[in-house]
Amino acid sequence: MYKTRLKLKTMTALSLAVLMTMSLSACDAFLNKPAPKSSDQPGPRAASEQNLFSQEDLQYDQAPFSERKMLINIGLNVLAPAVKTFAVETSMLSYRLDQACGDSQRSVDRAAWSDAVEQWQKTMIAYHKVDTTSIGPTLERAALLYAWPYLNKCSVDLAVMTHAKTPAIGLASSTAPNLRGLGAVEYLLTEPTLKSACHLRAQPLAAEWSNAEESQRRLDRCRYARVLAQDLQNQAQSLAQAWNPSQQNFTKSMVDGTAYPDVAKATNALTDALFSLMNVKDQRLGRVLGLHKDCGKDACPESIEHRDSELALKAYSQRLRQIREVFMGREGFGLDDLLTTKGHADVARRFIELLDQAQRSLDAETQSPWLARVEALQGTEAEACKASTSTDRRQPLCAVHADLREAASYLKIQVLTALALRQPPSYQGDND
Amino acid sequence: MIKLASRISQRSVLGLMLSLAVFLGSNPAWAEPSSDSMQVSASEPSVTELETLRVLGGQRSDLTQPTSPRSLPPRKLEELQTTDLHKVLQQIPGAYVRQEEGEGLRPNVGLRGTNPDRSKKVVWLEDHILVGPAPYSAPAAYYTPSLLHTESLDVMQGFAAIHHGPNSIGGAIHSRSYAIPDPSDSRRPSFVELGGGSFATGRLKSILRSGTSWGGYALSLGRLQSSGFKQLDGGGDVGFHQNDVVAKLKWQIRADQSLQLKLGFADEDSRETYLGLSESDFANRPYRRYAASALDQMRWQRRALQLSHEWTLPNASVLSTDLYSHRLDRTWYRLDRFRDSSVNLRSILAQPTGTNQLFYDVLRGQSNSSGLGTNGDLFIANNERHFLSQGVQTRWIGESAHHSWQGMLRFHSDSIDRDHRFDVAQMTSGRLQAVANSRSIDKQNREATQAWLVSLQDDWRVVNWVLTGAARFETAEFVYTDALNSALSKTRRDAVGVPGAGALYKLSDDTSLRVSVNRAVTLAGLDAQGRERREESLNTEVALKHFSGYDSWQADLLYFRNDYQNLTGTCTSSTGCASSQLDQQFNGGRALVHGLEARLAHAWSASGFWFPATLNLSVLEARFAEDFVSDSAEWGVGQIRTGDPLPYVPNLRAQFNLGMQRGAWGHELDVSYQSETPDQSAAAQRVSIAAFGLVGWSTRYKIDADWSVQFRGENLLGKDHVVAARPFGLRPGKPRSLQLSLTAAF
Repeated sequence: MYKTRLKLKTMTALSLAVLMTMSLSACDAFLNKPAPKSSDQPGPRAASEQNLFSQEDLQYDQAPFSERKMLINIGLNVLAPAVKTFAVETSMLSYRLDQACGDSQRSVDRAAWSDAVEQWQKTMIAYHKVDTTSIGPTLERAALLYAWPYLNKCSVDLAVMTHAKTPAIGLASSTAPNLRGLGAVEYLLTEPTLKSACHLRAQPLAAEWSNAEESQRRLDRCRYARVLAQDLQNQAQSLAQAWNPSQQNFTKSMVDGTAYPDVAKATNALTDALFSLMNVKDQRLGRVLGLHKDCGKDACPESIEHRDSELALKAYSQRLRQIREVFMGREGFGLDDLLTTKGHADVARRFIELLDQAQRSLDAETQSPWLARVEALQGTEAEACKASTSTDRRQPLCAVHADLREAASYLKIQVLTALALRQPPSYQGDND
Repeated sequence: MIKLASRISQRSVLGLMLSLAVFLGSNPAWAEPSSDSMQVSASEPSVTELETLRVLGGQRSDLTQPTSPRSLPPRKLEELQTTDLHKVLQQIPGAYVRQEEGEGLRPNVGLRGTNPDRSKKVVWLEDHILVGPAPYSAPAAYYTPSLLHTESLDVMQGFAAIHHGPNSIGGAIHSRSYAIPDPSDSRRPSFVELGGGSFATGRLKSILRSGTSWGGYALSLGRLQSSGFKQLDGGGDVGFHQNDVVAKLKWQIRADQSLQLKLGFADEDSRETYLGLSESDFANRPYRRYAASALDQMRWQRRALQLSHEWTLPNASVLSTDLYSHRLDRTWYRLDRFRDSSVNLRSILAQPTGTNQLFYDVLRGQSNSSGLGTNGDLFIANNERHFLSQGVQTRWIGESAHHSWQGMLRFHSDSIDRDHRFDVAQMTSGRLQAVANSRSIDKQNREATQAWLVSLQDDWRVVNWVLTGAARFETAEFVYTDALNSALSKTRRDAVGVPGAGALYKLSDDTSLRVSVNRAVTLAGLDAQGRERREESLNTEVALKHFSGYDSWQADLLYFRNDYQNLTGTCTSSTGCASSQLDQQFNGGRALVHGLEARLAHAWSASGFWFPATLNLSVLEARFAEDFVSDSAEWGVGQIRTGDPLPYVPNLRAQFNLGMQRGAWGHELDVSYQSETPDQSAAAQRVSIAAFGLVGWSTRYKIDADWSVQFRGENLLGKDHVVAARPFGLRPGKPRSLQLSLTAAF
């Protein structure tokens, strides 16, 4: 009897142990309920109600240095102004397109059209600067503003045709990123042949549209570009509000714990964004010049960005300038000051030297015909390109890539190590 | 006697014919079983009663064995009614598993904090022979012995695994295939089991064996097939089948010597993929499979030959010599990536917004690849690998009045030949189609290793003490040859000594206490980046064992501490590594793994019912002990800091089994729980696999002396649970499933 009771007690203890184990997770572990959760997902939350900075915060060019001051300076004086400029340029783009093909016009005004194309270039350059340091609200909206290189030209053409038939239908908010934004506007404004990118047998609507007069096709494209430009304007305004110090003031969110748990994480988000330098090196230049594994040939001229406008090298030059401004913080504290504070002034100096070298060599190439030079990269030219380095500049364009590679490697290894920060996950290895 | 032998012989032949017919048939699991058979039982109370379940699987002699493994004996394996190794290993504290495709086709097993990925940190043996495809050259185990031919399983952890190389810091697993019975054994050794159930699962397990005065034979025929539990977008095959054959023939040369030939064949054809789901898709339809995985298919074939000689020496010690050769050829045709290398499948599924959404829609078949230009092309890897593993080993086991000893000498050679290519495919109108003539070479290389291993152990018994000294010495030469870039070819030699010592004190007839300490090292192989460093740890453990009877209290409590001076990782596709990083080694520096393993069991009877109960618990902490920047996908890319967790090691794992048995009926309820598990160490982009608990129930009814029927239900509460977030997206565990099987013994 006693033994049986003892055994029962034992089993009760065992069962209790199991129940306690289970209770650790309550019943959720055994019953259905949505499962995984991601940790450390950076992303802005609602801005704090009090958006204004203190006087001390605004002394971002006066000692003593603090990471908080640095972030405020970069946010207010480098990032927010770039966003504001972009918003202004998108408004102008919308205006120019209204002039070129307003509702009352029966054909495209050619002079206004040229103005619109020129304005698109300004808007594009402004966006390249914004995209160079894409964090917080900028990162959130990036795909809707410019989804290069993923433009679906045929679907954009089909949208043009649908809009021509039923102009009342605007742009649906669910429209995919590769059917909207600056890339789609570029296609509509700069594609010279006015032919549809669709397979005409597979798309009867495209076949029908192709038979229309050239002036009508230009008008259809222009009018749809207006729709896209209006959407761009809305997105850019919303982005500008997010950065505007008197509105949502994302700069404050960066340092007050709203967007990032601490200033170190905010600084890391900034350095992550600076890895857009890698993107210029790999996806924008390397792939085109056959120096990246995604090309797989001597060169890939089909991957050129802004192919019809020859804007790419000028845009990349602006990107480098913006990286320099973020790093130096213009007149106030920048990442160079953070490095100096940590005893690595030499690292800051060297990175700027490498960046300036890349800037100089890139600027020297901006006037050259980019497409023609890439198309010439075959056989011995391609070999010379692959053998080019910063010191052995056999092929000047490819030497620009080598300069960028040096700057990017220095950023990835020395700068981040000196700052004791991690590199962004997507740049785990060199893809050269 | 002759009549009986003739009857058995007729039954064996009948059983063999039935097995072969079913094995070769298209749907064997549903064929009619033999009508002439009998239930296997170790100690049958009566021909129509089930054998009493031994609750723990331990035995009294374990109390004084310093390196005794944790075992799952034949009766327990039989009771589990599963072909999924993951479910079996849940019965062992300190072992943890990461499910992959939910069926257990490619087990990921970790022991004591080692990364379970591809069981690459575990030495796997079958009948004392290394069975990994190429354990030295490529430790990732794409093959583990099938439970269709496994009779029992031993898990050796920490100090108990000191004899085994090359990757035994966590431990080693030893599977025993169905043995040729002893002629004096009166049990009925042969049986045929046919089962079927949810998802058109069919299973044949047929063991035909006999021990005779001249030796004996054992033939195991098995087949497992299923249409799979996932649903492919647009329809399509997601099932698999596995065949497994092991044949043994033994010749008793003399009373003290025997020779045994073992032949093995196994193959698999499964429509398996690495592609998982986004979080929102998992929440809506967890068993969905995206259209982009439609072409994925794994095929492998394994052939094995083993010749064993056993000699009982005049001093009663046994000298066993084995000659073995195993070949495994596998090809996995599977979605690897998009042409655009700036995006990767993992991040697309982790955050399917913005530009990622464009690729996400292609994966789901909702957009065409052409909408993204050539960026939308999908690369389908055709990773062909040929493994060869062969060697010769001699083991010597003996005992005297105060000493027992064992030693091993092994020469082993293995190699892996990789021929990795890829096809380009495009998604068009929801269908994935490979582009004709698009195949390109990705990798062609060979790794080969020749290794010597010698190990010795002596247990010295002094009154109530057992003092143990053990050591392993291992030396290897690794050769890497790259067919595409000869500059990468290289050779490297390494040698390690692994000493250990332990002391066991017998507190009473039922209880013993043991402490041990050992150095644990894994040879440093080859790495294209020249980052080879040994994985090295100092392992200590304290264990308390209690055994008051097979049907009474049994307890096994153990605290261990593995203090790594260097923890290594190796890149595999299954952890999400890019092709360019495959098989590269990464050094994680210092790490600490420590924890408590407990196995408690008890059984009692009440009102004529027999209640066996077991609780297995593993509570551990596995963390890095220094800061470094990782560029390995296995640990996560980015900054790793002291205290960051090792991936896929749950802090708590519990398994509770409660049986109820009376006469011919037996039932068992099993409840398992696994705590939240990180999918990587780096904090950035770390995903926590939510904790989950599963409930299963099985019952067995012995119809008569020959026949028994079994039913098993798994995940009875229908818990939709994530088992992995690697390499690409969330992957579901198996949903509720039911299975019925019929066994005929003879």
